[in-house]
Amino acid sequence: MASDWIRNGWRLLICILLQVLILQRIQLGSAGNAYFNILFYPIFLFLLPIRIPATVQVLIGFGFGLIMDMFLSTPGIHASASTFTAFIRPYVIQWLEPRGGYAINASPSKNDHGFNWYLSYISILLAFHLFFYFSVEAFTYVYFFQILLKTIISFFLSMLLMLIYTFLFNPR
Amino acid sequence: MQNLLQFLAKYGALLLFFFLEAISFFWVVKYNDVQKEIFIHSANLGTGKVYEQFDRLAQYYNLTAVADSLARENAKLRNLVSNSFYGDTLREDALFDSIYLQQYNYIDAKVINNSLKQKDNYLTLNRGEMHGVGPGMGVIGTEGIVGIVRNTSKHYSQVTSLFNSQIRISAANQKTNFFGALIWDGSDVQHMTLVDIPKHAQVHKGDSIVTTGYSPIFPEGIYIGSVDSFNIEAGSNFYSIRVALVNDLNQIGRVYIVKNMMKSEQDSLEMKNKRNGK
Repeated sequence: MASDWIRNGWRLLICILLQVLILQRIQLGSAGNAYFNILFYPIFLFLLPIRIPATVQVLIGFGFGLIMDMFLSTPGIHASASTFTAFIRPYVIQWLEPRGGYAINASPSKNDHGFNWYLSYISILLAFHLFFYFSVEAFTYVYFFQILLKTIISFFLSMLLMLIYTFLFNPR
Repeated sequence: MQNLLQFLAKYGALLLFFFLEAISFFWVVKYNDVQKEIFIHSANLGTGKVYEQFDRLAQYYNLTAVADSLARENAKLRNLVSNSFYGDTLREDALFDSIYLQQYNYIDAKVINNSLKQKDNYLTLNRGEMHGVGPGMGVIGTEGIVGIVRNTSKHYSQVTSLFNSQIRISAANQKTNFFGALIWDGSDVQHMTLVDIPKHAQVHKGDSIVTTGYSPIFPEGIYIGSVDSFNIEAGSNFYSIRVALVNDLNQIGRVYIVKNMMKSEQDSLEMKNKRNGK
């Protein structure tokens, strides 16, 4: 249990630093009108232990998003997206529940549930997160198709990075 | 209590989610310029549509009034078309030239300040030297008289109100032509006192008091007010007549400044007589 906390603490730090120091500088297009935005940090939320109470998850999501907002000076945008992701996570986990149910202390990792499960799990959450994030960023339905396009491009790039991370470090 | 806990266990995450999202969106709109602009603009779009719809509705209900006013305007324009005139204009301007010399000019003015509560009251008008106003000119209202110009600046003039202890206006009983001076005793702003009418003159309640032509300030025969009451103080040879004013200076807005074109001529003639008499 304690090792869970330590592992997630390290992951929190890595996610923040990677996102803030490197990924946020990779952009194509002008600053206000980028074609994509690689978001790696949500993987911290994805990989939280399964059996955390839903309210705590929402709080963690909010606080985590807030930290990102502080670094990226976008008050509220990452916080709202992370809160949303943290909120829907238990439902996605429930929906993807294997026949035997989840083991106690299981983490939603490739090791515990297999690659197929893991891929669909992070795909769903990442898609929701990105779509929500770009919607809040644009803040109007007028640019719906631009939002969708941005979501799709960013989805593949972020996904690629997350899978590389998964295969390299095999996170639990 | 248990129900509450159960409720929280079931919906706590949802409530928390909505609460935190509300906070986030508040920050988004408050601190991000782009989103703030969009938020305000969207709000305007919504309210603007409401106004537009309402305006269309209101226009529909105003149609009758609009049609009426258009019809009136049509009639007015028809009246101006030359074929609706009957040509009986008499040219009089040649006559005017030699026989009727214009003595009084009227300058319209607006009262922009008016005091009535003091012992010596003054008005301010929005006409001044620029418009040909000078000290000593009379000021009349649409009814009755208002005062005498005291000072002028380029754009404004200060008028000594009737309700001023300095004022003395030459006034006469219209029927008998006995004349005296109209003064204000400081009592109320509806009445003035006509003094110096000798006691052998006939005075009746309701007699009209008008301006005389004796001073160059006001034209002759402007109706000032009517006799309210009168008495002769013991040992005096003159009436003290209380005159109810026709106009109410509380409500005065538009006034006319009386410009006497022959005032300087009259004054210089009178001054010459005085000097000769010396």
